[in-house]
Amino acid sequence: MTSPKSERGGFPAARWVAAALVVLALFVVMAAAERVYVYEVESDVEITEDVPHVPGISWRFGEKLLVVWVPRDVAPGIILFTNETVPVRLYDRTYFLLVVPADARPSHRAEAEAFLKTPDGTYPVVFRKPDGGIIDITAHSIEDALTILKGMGLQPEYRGKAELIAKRDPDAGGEAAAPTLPRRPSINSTFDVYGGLYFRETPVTKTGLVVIPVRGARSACRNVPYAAYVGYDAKSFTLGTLIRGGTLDADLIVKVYKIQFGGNCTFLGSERFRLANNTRYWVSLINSTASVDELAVFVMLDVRSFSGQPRVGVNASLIYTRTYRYGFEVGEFAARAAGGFEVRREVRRVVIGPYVAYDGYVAQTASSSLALRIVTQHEDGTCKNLQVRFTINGRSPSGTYIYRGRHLGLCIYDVYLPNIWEPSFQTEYFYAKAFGGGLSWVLDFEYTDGSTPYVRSIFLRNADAFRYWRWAEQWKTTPGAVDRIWMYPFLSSAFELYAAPTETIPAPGVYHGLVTVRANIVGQMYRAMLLISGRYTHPGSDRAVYMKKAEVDIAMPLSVQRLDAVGDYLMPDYQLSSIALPGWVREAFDVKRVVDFILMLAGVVGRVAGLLGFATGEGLKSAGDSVMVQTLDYYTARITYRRGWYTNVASDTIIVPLIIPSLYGRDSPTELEITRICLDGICSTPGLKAYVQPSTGYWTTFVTPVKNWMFRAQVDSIIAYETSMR
Amino acid sequence: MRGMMRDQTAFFLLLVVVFSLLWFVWPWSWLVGVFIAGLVFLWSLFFVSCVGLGRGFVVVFGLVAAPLALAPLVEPLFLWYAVAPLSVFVVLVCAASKAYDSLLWGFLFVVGSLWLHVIILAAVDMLTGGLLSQAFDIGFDVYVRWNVPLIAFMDTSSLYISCRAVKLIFAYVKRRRG
Repeated sequence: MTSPKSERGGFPAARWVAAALVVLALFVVMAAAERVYVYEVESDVEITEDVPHVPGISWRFGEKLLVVWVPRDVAPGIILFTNETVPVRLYDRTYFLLVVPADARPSHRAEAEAFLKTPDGTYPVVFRKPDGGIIDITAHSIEDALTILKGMGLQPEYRGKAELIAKRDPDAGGEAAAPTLPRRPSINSTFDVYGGLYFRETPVTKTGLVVIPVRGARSACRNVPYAAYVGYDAKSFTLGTLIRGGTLDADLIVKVYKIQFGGNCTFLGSERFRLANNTRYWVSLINSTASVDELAVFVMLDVRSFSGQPRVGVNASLIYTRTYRYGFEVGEFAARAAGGFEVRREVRRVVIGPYVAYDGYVAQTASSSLALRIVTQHEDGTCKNLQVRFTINGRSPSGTYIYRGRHLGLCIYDVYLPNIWEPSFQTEYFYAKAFGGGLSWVLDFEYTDGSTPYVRSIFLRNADAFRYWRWAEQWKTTPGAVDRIWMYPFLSSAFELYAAPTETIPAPGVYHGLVTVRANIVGQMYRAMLLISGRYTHPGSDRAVYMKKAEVDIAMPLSVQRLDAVGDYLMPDYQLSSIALPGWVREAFDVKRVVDFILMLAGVVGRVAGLLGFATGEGLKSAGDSVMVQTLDYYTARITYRRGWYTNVASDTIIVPLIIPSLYGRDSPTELEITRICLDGICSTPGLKAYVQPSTGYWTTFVTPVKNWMFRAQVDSIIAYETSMR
Repeated sequence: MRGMMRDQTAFFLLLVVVFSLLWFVWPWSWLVGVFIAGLVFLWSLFFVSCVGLGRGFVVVFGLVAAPLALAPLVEPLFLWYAVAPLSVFVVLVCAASKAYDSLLWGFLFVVGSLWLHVIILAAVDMLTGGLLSQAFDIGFDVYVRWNVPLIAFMDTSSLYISCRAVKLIFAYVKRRRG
């Protein structure tokens, strides 16, 4: 039995201990949750990869200020290829949030490139690659940004508007670049080539270490599972993260390896970052100096806690240095848009895309001939002037233009893009790849008096939305030699099409097509591989109608005589299924020959049988699938695929290996040109080039065969569509 | 009686052409077999109506055409696509033989009509700069659909003329032969 005194005496002691624990906990929380000021910044400097730092400050991100993108405004828009009306966010490279530690004590003696003028004082700013890894974070709103920052263990306080003013050359970065011509690169020139790495989206179900495996079944290292291949001459490497389905407190760990001869890897170093959603990280270990060796990268998480069922998506964006030596290491990529779309609503924005950001973009070669007719309802019998601002992915500008309307009952505006702004394209391509995303045009338009037009319909001219030269899978070249990997090039040239029927209908079906030409190894029977893919989808429905007919015309400066082709379906499980007539249809052809002979003896030959012969003969002929080659002239051949009315193969893609006898014995590269593509009746004349290497005149050197990063983007195109319009 | 027959042939001509117009919207699926069966059935009735249509022919040509529609369900029936023209030809010859009381005359009627109609088609083709050849070459195409109604119209109308012409020639020859 305890006395009341002892009870009274015991309680205060426990209370003191509890109070001490609370104070300690508060101290720990206060220490962990660092106070930061958040400023809404208007900048006269476009922020891309080099981000603001304040010399002299020191916090968990070194001298860096965190950049958080928030939309400048949100307005109703239409995603043309899905006919969805959605709020479309428009970001701006000169408008963002800057996160500054509350106790920042800058060094005012340091040389500044710009000044950040805030309600709390002025900070000197320099631009460089980010301390602490994080390049930028993207948020949907200022509130969303504050939530993300809290999730990173910060205590953010919004402090109002600020200005970032460049010290010198205030116009730098804001000017339109000179239009570039999509010319073929010249021999011996060196390029920046952009590409991506792709990792599997990984669910987090436990704390501790969680591996993010590379996509594909094979690791770049024999002794390190799930590592991704980086290769030689990578000068910049950026990771992008997407977290869905929950939240988590974790670190992102990136380990960099050198691939040894034989395929084993040795550890070079690792970097650890605080994981945040929609965030890009710069991995400094992968640079020009380190990638003189062949590199691989391994990614994992160190999870402290999580809630919900978070899934983490990681992708990477790379810039390589490549030298164009032989005249056949590049191909082309063309993204097309065509068709008419009924809109019938007030919209301020149109999204055209997203197209796959095909790996291997050769810097300074992008172009676009985007052209569309916007039909609006007139007001008071007049057509106001329409101002159109072109942006890539709703982030980087490519010019603002004013168009006069023609009054023909309705107001008709013929809108075209004079040229693409190459730096904008580079920035957005590099950004998109970090998230496994694609490329879209976002057109922001309004009448010059500020009102929103009522758009009746939009017609896209059959023209390139994006086009660029792409590096076709050449890794490191040594003088006079070609890497072995080039012997297995993938998809050297690609044509992607989005189209709608030219007749506008209320709920348009949208066509998505793809044609690629891949040059093959010397000595192979099939010197070029054609891949043709197409399907109609109906927005809001899972129903897809697979390609029924395709025609591809190939021209080359040689004879196409004896050019031959076979055809296979590429099945959903990536197995091939040969295109052949159904058994009884084949038998029927044999019987038909006998019957035709009998009828011929009776005097009923060929078209004498009229409609009867036509209906049964053509009915039989068109029952099964076929791939045919037709010579149009000395230099041009047409490859035609037809899906039979009887067959119903569950595939929207065919692969057509081509035998081109005239390519044998060539001692210089041969240019193949896709002069015409008709996919399910939607025809384009893309002039798409691909180059086949000569049979002689260079030699090969052997490096470790690796997985192809070029190919992955296509395999994972569905993911690209999901992530690009966040 | 003759007037009735002519009307019947014209009626079937119209039916073939109207039916062929459905091709513009016909789905590219197993139902193409039904379209082909319909075309063969109506065309056969049209031709036979030129010499005399009995109910029996409707049944016979129905039986001839049905396997064409059913082939997608029972694949071996695709063999019938090869055999059907011969069987239709045989039935037509039988029908014509019945009308002229002679197998030879019946055979000559059918072959003569077909040849004359193809000569007319060739002339039209020449005059139109190869339009008919182009239509025939296109065949059954999932996206190019204009050719089938054109062929149906040109074929039946030329056959209408040719079978009437052959009938007149036969009547003339028979009269001359007493």
